[in-house]
Amino acid sequence: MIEVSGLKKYFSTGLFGKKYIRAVDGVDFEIEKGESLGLVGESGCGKTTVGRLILRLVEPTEGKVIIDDTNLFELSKKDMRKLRHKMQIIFQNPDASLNPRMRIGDCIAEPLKLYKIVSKERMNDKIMELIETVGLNPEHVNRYPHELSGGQNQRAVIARILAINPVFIIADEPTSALDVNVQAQILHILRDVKDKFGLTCLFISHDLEVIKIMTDRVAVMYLGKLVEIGKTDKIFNDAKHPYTKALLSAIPVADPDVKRKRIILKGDMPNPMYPPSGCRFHTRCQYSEKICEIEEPSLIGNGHKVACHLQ
Amino acid sequence: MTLLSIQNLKAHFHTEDGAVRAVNGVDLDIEEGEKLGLIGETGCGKTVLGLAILRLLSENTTVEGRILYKGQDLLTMSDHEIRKIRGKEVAMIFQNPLSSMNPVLTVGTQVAEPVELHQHLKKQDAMQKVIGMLKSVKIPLPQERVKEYPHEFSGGMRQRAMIAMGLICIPSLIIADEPTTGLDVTIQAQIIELMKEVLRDSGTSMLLITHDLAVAAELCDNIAVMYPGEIVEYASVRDLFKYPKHPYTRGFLNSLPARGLKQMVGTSPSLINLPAGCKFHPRCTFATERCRKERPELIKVGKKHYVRCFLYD
Ligand SMILES: Nc1ncnc2c1ncn2[C@@H]1O[C@H](COP(=O)(O)OP(=O)(O)OP(=O)(O)O)[C@@H](O)[C@H]1O
Ligand code: SF4
Ligand SMILES: [Mg+2]
Repeated sequence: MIEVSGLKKYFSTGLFGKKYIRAVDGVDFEIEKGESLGLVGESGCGKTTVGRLILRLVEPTEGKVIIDDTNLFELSKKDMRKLRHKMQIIFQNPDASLNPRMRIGDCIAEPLKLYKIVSKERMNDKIMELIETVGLNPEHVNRYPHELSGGQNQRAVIARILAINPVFIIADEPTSALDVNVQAQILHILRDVKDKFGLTCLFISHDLEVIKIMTDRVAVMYLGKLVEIGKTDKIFNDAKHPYTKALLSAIPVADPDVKRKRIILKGDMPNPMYPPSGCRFHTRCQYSEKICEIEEPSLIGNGHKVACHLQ
Repeated sequence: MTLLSIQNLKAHFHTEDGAVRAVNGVDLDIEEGEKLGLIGETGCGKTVLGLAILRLLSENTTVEGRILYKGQDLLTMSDHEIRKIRGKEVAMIFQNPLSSMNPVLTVGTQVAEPVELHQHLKKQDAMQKVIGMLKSVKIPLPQERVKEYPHEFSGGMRQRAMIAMGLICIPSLIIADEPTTGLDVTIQAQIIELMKEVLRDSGTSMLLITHDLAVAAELCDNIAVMYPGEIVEYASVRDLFKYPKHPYTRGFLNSLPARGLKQMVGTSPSLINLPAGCKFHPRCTFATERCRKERPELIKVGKKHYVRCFLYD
């Protein structure tokens, strides 16, 4: 359903725009209809930018995003607007998506009116139906965002998104700002609505535990590139790339009986303005060899793909 | 030996909307060399408890109870005496290193502050000590990096510098408030390993404040679970994970993605309007009439395992 190929986004910085932050530097993947793809990586690796490019909230430096046979970046503004209502994004911070001066009910009604989704008479019923789907109470309709908790606001955001009958949603760290218990509630809602409406999903998160339970496939990103992509259980049980392995071993486990060998990576993430030569991970990789410093590995494999010379 | 003994501690803020009862009768002991984790959801009063120990709360606060450090009550000490303890005997690592470091002073100057204050070292000698300390928290090229400002450090580096500042006088107790929150997982893993190592070497006790149970499980011996203003369960890490007793602890554990993502009804109550009786009763499936009226005490259910719930009465 969605095909991303050769996607690049360089942000220019500096007075004369001579320096470039290579936020996304050649990314390819597909998402099947009804599938949920996870995009994981650490802060600054470019995952949010990928999400924003797919919605064309930023213009790409290069590359294509093909949705139902059309390249998104070739669409006119008008056609893009038509398409956009089928594609929605849930951000980490619900406040960014709700107007603080609007009651929750009006926030949900707004897209219903804008896209003429229901008649005036049915408006109230539709709002109540949505409110119920996301587990809010009828009394919340008349409240303002600051009168609700973060979790309740995130539910309102989901209700507002569902109002538009999207076919594709991007969830960008939708629960990172929430407590575990509230996170559990929101993830349940997302899973339910995804099944109920057969949504296709790109789930962006740095939290591997969340990715594990929310996705069918996972793509692992490091410094603007994918290093590994495959079925979720394959990635979690049989990771191939040294970075994926380190990432998985870094998750703290809430079980004192589980003893594991942790892979501690050297140093910090390099500056995306000056990515290392060859394999970008070589400066932190314990297996790095001569070839890794010189030649960039490509993402290869059948189904489960890895970008590493030593595979 | 007991290093710190918190007894019936209360900390209330006076606000326009009423009294915010952030800490409501907390009893907690920390032994010498012990690593105790304090866990709970956002706003349950963890940071306030940590700040109360070092008397760092704002003026609009009423603090009651006793906080005995090596037998001396920190709450009744003179300002002069508490200043001698802060940073030297009991140090704090703050929740957000960027906002708790001074942006216009170099990292070196800031890390040196406790040494200059407490050990009366000359600037140059202090700086030598700082460089050594930054090296032991694995900051590369410390002799160069002491001259840099906080914003020139990455998040992980700043957190290392905070740890260095906290440990530079080799305190007996360190209060670490969310030392790894907001860091990337691989950087978090670096910091966890680093803390294990430096605490082992220095023999320092720790009160680790965190909302992340898994981090507490890795770093601590014992865990205290906080639910608005109170400790509702206290146990060794093992017992807490294998045999959680309090309905809230169980719900909390079960809501972790790795443990089934089960939902607990409702949310934590407001600290201005706390329910009577057991604070958890509006959300508890076992609540009885008694739970709605009477506040349960901490009940001993095993060797070093305590729970505040009538089910175990
Ligand atoms: N100076 C103050 N005046 C009034 N209320 C305050 C003050 N400082 C903290 N509070 C309130 O006390 C309560 C406990 O806050 P605290 O910072 O201890 O929570 P926490 O458990 O550390 O949460 P988090 O996990 O989000 O850090 C909160 O409701 C907070 O709003
Ligand atoms: S005291 Fe009662 S309400 Fe509180 S946790 Fe125990 S059973 Fe539930
Ligand atoms: Mg806090």
